[in-house]
Amino acid sequence: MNFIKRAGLSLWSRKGKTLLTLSTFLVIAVMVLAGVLINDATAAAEQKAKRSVGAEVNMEYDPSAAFTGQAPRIDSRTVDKIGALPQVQKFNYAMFDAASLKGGINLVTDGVDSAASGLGEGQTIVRGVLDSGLLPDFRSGKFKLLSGEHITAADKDKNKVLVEERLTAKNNLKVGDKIALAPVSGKGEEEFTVGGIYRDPSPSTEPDPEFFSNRSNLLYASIGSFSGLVSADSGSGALQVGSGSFLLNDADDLDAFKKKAAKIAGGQLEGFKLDTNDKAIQQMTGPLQSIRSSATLAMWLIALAGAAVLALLANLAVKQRRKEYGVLLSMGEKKSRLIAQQILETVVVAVLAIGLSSLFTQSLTQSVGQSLLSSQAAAAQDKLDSWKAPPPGSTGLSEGIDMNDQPVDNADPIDKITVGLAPSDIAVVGSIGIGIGLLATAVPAASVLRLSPRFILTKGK
Amino acid sequence: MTSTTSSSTHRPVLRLDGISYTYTGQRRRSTVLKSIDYSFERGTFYTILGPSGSGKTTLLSLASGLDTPTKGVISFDGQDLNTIGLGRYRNKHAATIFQQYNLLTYMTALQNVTTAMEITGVKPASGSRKARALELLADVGLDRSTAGRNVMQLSGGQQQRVAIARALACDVDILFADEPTGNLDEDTAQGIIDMFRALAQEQGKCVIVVTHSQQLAAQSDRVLTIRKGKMTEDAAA
Repeated sequence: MNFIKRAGLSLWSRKGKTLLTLSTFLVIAVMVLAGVLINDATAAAEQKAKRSVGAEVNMEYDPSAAFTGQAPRIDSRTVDKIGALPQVQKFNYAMFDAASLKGGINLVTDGVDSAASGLGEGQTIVRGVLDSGLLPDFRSGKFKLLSGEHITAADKDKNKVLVEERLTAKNNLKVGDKIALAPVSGKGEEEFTVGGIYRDPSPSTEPDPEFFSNRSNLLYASIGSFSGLVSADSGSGALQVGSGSFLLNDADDLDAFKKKAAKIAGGQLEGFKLDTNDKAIQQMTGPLQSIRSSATLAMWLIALAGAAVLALLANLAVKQRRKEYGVLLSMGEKKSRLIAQQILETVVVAVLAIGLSSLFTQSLTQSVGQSLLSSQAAAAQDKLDSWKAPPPGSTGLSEGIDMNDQPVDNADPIDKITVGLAPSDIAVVGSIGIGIGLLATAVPAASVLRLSPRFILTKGK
Repeated sequence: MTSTTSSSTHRPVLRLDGISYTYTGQRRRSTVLKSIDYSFERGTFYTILGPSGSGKTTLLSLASGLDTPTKGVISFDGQDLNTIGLGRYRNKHAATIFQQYNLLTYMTALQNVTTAMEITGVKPASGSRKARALELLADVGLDRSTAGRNVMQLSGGQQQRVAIARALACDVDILFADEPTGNLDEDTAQGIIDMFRALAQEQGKCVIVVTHSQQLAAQSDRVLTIRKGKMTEDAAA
């Protein structure tokens, strides 16, 4: 084990060179560790954001699919099976149809004339839903439930309805009152209980974007009851739905979920697409991703530059130690022990540097990372705040407004990270640092040691 | 020249058979040793003379296992060095005192000697390696305080003596030396020569010294001369 003693003597007696190598290693270790810590911290924050938002998969009509002349429909029992998958936290499906309001209920006539959308006198659009709380407008906070409760899966066949506040105001309706609905063609009429009153903040002059009808008259009803009412004549049997949405527990399950859903539905998904609604996550995590990519790039650039400097230093050191190698070999020392000595010296310096870096890199990274993230988040927030909706009736194209840029409510860009140092981070930095050091040392050392001791001692003369 | 010990100790130890060595430069090749045959014996103190560039140091390097000949076979105790392994041969059977000392510059004189003992696995019959190293250093005229100094703080002559003590510490069968007394004063040089003679005559070692010094050669058992690539033994030997 005398090579260990030699390594110690060598490091101690060449203090200047040892310090220089230590400094180089320290720079590499700090940069790589900072990169790793920022990666970890942003990944953790991103994961937290995803968990808080959840991940939503929407099953919607696919405009790119071949049009068969009829909007696609899927059996609700199939959607129930998909909704029962372990990845799903909650799910919703919906259908819509026109219906007539009976019992002297007067529709709101201010603003958009529903006749333009093809609805007759006393008719409105009713959306049958399984869980109204999962509708995007409610989830985003755009619509607010003013009183009563949402329609849930438990209310599927309980004849409940949500009514917009302007319609309730005109008819003096309150939660618990009854309204009668009838299909626009055919017979039958059923009473529905007002389970909740909601507010759509858009003016009634602005048509509903989906049905082009007066949005004040739009009703949300228990899907089982309403579907039974409007399809009683058609004899279509099982409930058929036109759209669905699934809120997952974990955004990481998106792909697995989509695969399983497609497997369960099989051919029934024809005409539908499973779309991931991760805009909120993107909006929240954009600054995180930005600093992560910058930190990763900086980490690798510095590591590469450091490795190059280290390789030069090691190469120089090996050349300077050529004679030492020759002397030791002339005494019959094994080449493996010479390499072991060189490696040991490198590892000792690397471990020292990594140890030193772990003392202060966490606080340094917290401060630098937080500062970078704050500026990125502020810029992202400014961009979101500056977005303006196009005027009513406009698609925004003529104003140069991209509707895809519309901010998602309650999804502010994340502006805080918590940097933590875990043993695994040290292990990553250790393996990178020591790997670079060993490579930088072993290659020039091996190139010298393949020579004969005499050649080494005489420099080939 | 001095008389040698009994014939029983004069067994052949190192044999050169048809040794040639050719330096290959970028433009030309130069053969410095041409088919040298010779057998070195135990208990004998050899000196090798020859003009500069005659190949003395090259021969020493080949015989000490620091390099391999272009042609020919070198055997130790009847075994080809390649079979023994050059590293093992240098570790167990041969030690070299270099003209340039070749000390480990980050160590003290004492550490240079003990390191050599550790590498070659030499364990003194009595006492510690350190004690034996101090004894050897004292034998070459270096006291305890000098032994504890870094070799770079020593004079050329002192470094030469550390190199000699280091080689002696290895307790090998053959001791090679390249101009070992070149930097030493007359008294110290004579002390070293006496030590070499004692090693050969009392301990049965084979001592091979390359030198320009006729004074040193005169005190050896056999004088060999290399000239124009050929080695001849002094007729008077």
